[in-house]
Amino acid sequence: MIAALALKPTPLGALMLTALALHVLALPAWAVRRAMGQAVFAAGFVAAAAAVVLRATQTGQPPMQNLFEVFLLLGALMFPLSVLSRRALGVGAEAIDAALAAAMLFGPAMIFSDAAQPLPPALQSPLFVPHVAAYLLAYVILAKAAALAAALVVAGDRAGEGKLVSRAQAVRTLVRAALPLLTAGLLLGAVWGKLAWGDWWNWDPKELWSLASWLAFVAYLHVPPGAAARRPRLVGAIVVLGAALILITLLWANLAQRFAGLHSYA
Amino acid sequence: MNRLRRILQWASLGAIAALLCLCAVGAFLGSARATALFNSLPLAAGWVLLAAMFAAGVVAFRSFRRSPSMLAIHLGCLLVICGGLWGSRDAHRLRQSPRRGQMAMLEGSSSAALLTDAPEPVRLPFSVRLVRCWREYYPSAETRWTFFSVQADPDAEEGYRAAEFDAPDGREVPLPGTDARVQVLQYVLPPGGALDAHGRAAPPTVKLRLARGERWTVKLLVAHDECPYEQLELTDLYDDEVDWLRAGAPVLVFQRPEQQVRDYKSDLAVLRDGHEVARKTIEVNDPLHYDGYHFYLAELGQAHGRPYAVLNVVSDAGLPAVLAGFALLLGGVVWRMWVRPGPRRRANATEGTP
Repeated sequence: MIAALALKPTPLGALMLTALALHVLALPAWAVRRAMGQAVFAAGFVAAAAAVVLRATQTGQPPMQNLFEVFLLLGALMFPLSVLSRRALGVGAEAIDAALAAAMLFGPAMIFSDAAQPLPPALQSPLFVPHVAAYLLAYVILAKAAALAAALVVAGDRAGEGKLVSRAQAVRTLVRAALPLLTAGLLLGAVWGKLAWGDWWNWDPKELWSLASWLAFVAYLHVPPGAAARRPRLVGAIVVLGAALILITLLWANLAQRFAGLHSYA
Repeated sequence: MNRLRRILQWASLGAIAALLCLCAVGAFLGSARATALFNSLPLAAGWVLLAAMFAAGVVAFRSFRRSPSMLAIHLGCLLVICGGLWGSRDAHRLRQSPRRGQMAMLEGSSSAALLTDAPEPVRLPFSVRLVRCWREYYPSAETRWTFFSVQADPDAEEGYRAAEFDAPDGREVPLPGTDARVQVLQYVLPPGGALDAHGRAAPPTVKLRLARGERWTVKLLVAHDECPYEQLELTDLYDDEVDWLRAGAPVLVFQRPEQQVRDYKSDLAVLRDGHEVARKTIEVNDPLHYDGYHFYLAELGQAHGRPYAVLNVVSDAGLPAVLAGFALLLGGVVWRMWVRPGPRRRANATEGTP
């Protein structure tokens, strides 16, 4: 699953490296001019999306089977999310999005093995794509929410420029946007578990970490508004905790032998 | 009432935090011990308390009753917990009905015996017949087998010597370490899903001609699912050489090309009073459902030359409540977060749940 830090001498590897480089370059480009940063970010997205399409064509299946494909897809989803969050939710901070996309693309470009495997029988389900897609969309939104929440914890709240919302409000808006997707991922997984293994809940390590991350965001939304307004940093820390739990669900539960279970193929 | 609402609000946060911590602890324990932990008596009491909190919340918070999404979310959670409790191992034990068990059957046979953790098998009021079972494979680009000639050698570290050799299609090649020759007449690797004359997935096969001097024989090697290696003793060519046999016959070992399983399938029929009442081809992600039980294919294999299957049999008690709870919870969350995101509350913030 994991290879040594190395470039992949294939067209797919070249596309991913280009996407990674463009996302990194977008950061200084923003410092020069916002429009330039946005253009480089968009170019990075085109390269990442091309890599996703190429991978799907090569394997003949949705690129959601292993960490290589999941992180490639996560990286490619960041730009559309960035555009959508500004236009629909009034949340800016595109530089954070580009940095997050670069971090997500680093894994498939440099670390994770790109060896393709046919889908094992358990993954051949109509629920495979909706279950994974719901989680991935939730994860990209919550990654942005967590980055803003971390800024909130460190530097406190800051009013938004122009039509943009404040930092604390942006975190709340993003969490609210992601929670239905996170819930859908969790519940579709439970239904799939019933069809594949006989029980809708197996107390498997990955299931438990995913429930823990869902609970963290539910807890965040359960904080009474008065308390949230008085202590924005403390409440922001709950979102950072939720994102840390997602990382454990996504990475540690897959990579560490400690958590071997029903999801070990993922 | 305000005081009760405030208590419930902070109690719900406390319950969420406690459940979150328990999830983290359970993840470190592993699935089996986590199952035991979350089904233990103290936590069963905790689940009941949590269900009571959801019910109390619905009663205490007017916003729950006014807002269909809030009501759906919390009733959904309540249903999931109630369904989970009703379908739990201990609830089945109290009702004296099996929650989970296994059935093992040879192809063509039927059984009504459900093996559970009880000392005696449970007799189901119907029997299940395994009509047939098979594997399907992905097509593989690789068709050639890897050949090894293996000979006993007491001086070798492992007690034998193995020499890999290439056997191109149609060309006769010497067998390393012997005076015999081998010729591959045909490689047969059916595309994934191809069936043989008996309706089973045909396994990869190789047809060989083995020769030594004037003697020759044709062999057909058929790969078996359990082992990637097939071996062939050359007794047809060497059976007259007693000394050689005593020293250990050279053996041809074939490693078949790897084929990844695409699916495991099994034809099941349910019989009641001698009549077939249900029939289905089950596969991974698609079990048979009959009379409150789901039948899953757990294992396929060969015993005494006959295919067999092991079925997992799981009760569906509580499942309708759980699925209804899922639908309510998801529908409520989508409505609350996406369709009507703005809180419809009065200035009084004490009722301010999400």
